[in-house]
Amino acid sequence: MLLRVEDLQVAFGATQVISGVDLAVAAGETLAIVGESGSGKSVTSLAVMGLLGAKGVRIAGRAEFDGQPLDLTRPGGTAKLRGDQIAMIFQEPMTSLNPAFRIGDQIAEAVLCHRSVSEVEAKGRALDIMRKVGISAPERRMRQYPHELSGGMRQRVMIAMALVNEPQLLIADEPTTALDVTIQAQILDLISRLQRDRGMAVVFITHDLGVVAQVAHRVAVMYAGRIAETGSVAQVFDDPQHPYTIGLLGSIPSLTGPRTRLTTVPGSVPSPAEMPQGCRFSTRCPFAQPKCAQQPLLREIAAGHRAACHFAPLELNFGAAA
Amino acid sequence: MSADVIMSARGLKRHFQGSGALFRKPAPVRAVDGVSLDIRRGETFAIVGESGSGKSTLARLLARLLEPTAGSVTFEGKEIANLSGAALRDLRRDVQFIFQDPFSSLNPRASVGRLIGEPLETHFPKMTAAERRERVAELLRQVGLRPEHMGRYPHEFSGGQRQRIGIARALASRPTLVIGDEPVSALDVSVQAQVVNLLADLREALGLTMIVIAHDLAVIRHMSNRVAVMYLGTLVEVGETDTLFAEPRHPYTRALLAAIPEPAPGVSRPAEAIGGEIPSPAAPPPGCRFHTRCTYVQERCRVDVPELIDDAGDGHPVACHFWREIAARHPFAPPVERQGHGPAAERVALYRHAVARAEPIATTTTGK
Repeated sequence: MLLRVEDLQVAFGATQVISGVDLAVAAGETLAIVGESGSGKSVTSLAVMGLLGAKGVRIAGRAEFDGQPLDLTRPGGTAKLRGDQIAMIFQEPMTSLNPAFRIGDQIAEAVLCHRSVSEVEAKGRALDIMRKVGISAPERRMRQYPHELSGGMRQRVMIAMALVNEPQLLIADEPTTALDVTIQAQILDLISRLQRDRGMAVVFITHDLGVVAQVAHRVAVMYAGRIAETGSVAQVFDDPQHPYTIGLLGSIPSLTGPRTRLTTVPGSVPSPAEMPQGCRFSTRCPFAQPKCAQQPLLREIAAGHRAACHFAPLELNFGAAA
Repeated sequence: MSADVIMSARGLKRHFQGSGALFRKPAPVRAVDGVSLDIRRGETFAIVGESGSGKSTLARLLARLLEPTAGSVTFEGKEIANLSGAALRDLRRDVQFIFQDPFSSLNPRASVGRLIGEPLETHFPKMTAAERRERVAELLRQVGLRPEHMGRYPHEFSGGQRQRIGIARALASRPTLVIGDEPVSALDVSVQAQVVNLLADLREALGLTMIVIAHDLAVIRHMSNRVAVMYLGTLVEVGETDTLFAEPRHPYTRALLAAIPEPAPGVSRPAEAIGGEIPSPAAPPPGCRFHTRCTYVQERCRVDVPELIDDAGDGHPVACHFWREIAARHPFAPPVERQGHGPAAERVALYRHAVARAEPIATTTTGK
């Protein structure tokens, strides 16, 4: 495993936002962390990147990167790797780029921070990576400012900046959410191609199960700061175990089949103050039982497939549908 | 078309003043550039397109939240462009708007009771305070909230609940036509499904006509009877939802459908993906506006503007010179049906059944 995180805990003040999250991703593999707002998927990735350094944040847990222990608990623990061995791209490229500097200079700066090369060499690498991520007329683009580019082009610039130092791990936090579907398709293809070419590991954070099915090898479904279910893409989509995963799969409007009424997950994610004891999904789960007041373990259902539900698989406990 | 038409647009245009460089005259941004359409009473009509297609501007023109540069909009046979005074107030009562962002479209300092009561005061000035309270309670029940929520403020609600408040507010004046600009796209998928179902229930219970603007074609498929696809300020295809999704005619519609990642692992997208990006509406390409990105582009497309015409005579007009040839030579491959493998479909059915039993959704439609 290239990256392994065990028992990650994150608290903002008195509010525990991430509890007992385990993650592992191997070289050449894409792990998707999927969840809705408030699931803790972005906080998890920021903790791994060491970007949660503000006061009042407590992080606990063990982590290992490329065989070396990684200290997530103190700010700066991952600073050396960041932008070098581990790179990250965000949802909104406009706020991640400095509006006052030219594109080419911003990419070259990423090289100069981590590699002892000349400025000319850094510019050369910037030009090279811009071409690889499909930025047309890169010589001209290098001299442009972020506001002169479209959203899709800015995201390509972010990807170029992330990949210029050939990282072993790319963390992509909703990288296509702000983009139109036709542009999203281009960016997803780009990330997949670059990953294959470089054997890079990717942690892909998204709310979109369609995107997960396209890009991921393995999936972790998060709900309210915990992992509800994890497994290979085929396991999670074809043999979903956790009621939340099942509800989520049912709520996606499909492009095929009859246009039936959509399945819903009733209610909404409880606020941290209203978080139930035990299974956190119990307030919205149509199968909830008294036993759900105890926290279910993330137990193994099949090799590599784990779910945190006392009653999985559901048909054994609740009979077949009418 | 013999169907009862509630709203029509003819040659509708809206240009905005562009931002020019120093010493250079700005080119106008042609956000909506010649749109004609008919909305039938009782249907849900969807307008889809990517950002920059002009779909939100079109929605605002239809609701008369914006004045057109040229062209006309009629509602119930009357031109709405020059309405004022009482006639405009009547239009505001009959045509209501639901905004995309439930976080910024509600006044944070007004209680839910006031937010929903306000349109009642405007449109039904004779209502007593007690009647108004009763009506606000009824509206809250209709959208799946509780009358006790009346005294609370927007920040106390989740995104989905806020959108329900926005819907209740829109329904307060008893409109006949509701226009939603991306009404569910800011919501998480599980909550989005709740609101999609709610809108369907309300349409049926109240006999509403709806115009829904969206960029998500899969959501549109579940919400609409007819769909118009918009690109760079013009409509490129209009059709019945089932037909349009099964046999899209315009290369842009085909590409949009093909670009959607299906939630089924191992299903690869059909090879319709288009390159490039939507050009600036200040400088739309000559000829067919889509020709710069079209896989099937011909010489004629670069010069000759295709009209949106129903030349097949089947109520499925398309603005493409070559749609017949393209359909014949490159039949569209619809996405593969999902949920084919494993126990997923069975468990979704079990789950659905349990949800229906756990909370009878009657609260959303009963009204009183």
